[in-house]
Amino acid sequence: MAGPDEPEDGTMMINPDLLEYARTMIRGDYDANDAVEARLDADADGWDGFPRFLAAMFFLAVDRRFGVGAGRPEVIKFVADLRAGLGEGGPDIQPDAAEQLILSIIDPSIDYEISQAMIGRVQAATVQKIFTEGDLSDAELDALLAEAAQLAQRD
Amino acid sequence: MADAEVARDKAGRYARLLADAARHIGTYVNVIAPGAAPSGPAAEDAAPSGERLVTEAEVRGRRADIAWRKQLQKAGDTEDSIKSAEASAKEVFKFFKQQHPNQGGSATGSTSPQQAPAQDRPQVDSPVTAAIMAAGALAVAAKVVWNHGRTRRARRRDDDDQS
Repeated sequence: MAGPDEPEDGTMMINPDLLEYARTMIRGDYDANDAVEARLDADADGWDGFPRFLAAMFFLAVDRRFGVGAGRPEVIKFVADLRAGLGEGGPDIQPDAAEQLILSIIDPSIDYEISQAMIGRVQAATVQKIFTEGDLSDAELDALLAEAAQLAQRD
Repeated sequence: MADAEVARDKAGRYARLLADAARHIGTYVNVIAPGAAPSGPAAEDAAPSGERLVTEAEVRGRRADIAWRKQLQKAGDTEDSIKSAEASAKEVFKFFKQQHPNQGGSATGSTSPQQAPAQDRPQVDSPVTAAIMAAGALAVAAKVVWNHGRTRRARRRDDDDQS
């Protein structure tokens, strides 16, 4: 029996507030982001589907930045810039793990052995970097987030 | 000519994605309120440039599926909860907010903020713009559906509490 947010075909409905959380985060509208985060925390089901939505955003970010033809040197350079941007005292992003996770999107045959905690950190930092630097219009960002939600709702 | 081709490709891709999203929303609406939303094969009609665009969207979808299944499999193999990824991602986002409490855009510190100009009067004659506006309308619809589901969940919890 499907739950109230799970249509009969087994897909999960993504909370629109998750898109708003991502949009305000990427835009640097942190006051609005705090408000959305509080709403999500207050709702028992608020964060449902977030890991897959984040994974979908990560996929779109990497695909947008690297496509399917990029090689390891480009990814190594990107990860070095990513870590440099975080600075000392920032989240622990292991370079090998970040490179391997990004390469696994570019080439699905590439495997990895990375903890979920590290995956989450790499995904969040990568999404923030690529979408922030992407010179996206509001409409383009909304379209990307809508596509991420659509990917996260696939069977 | 190249710009026109890019715009056409983007329009087709967005149209198909939006049609797919509309179909999912329609399916869900019909679950919570049978017969309330039309259902039907709108996706094929919405794609203006044919099979190639359909294939492109499907390939991207399958690649995203593969990446997600691989992450799930890794979590299962190591008994590592997918919730760990969620928690650590939130910590990263909180870090960005703490690092840049009063500025927008680049939380990575490697570029200047990228604030796009607001679009006061979108040009609806552009197929890409029209598709993006449709995405906005779908987001509104999704919000309504989500709130409806939340109300149902709250009501059900109240019923459970009383029983």
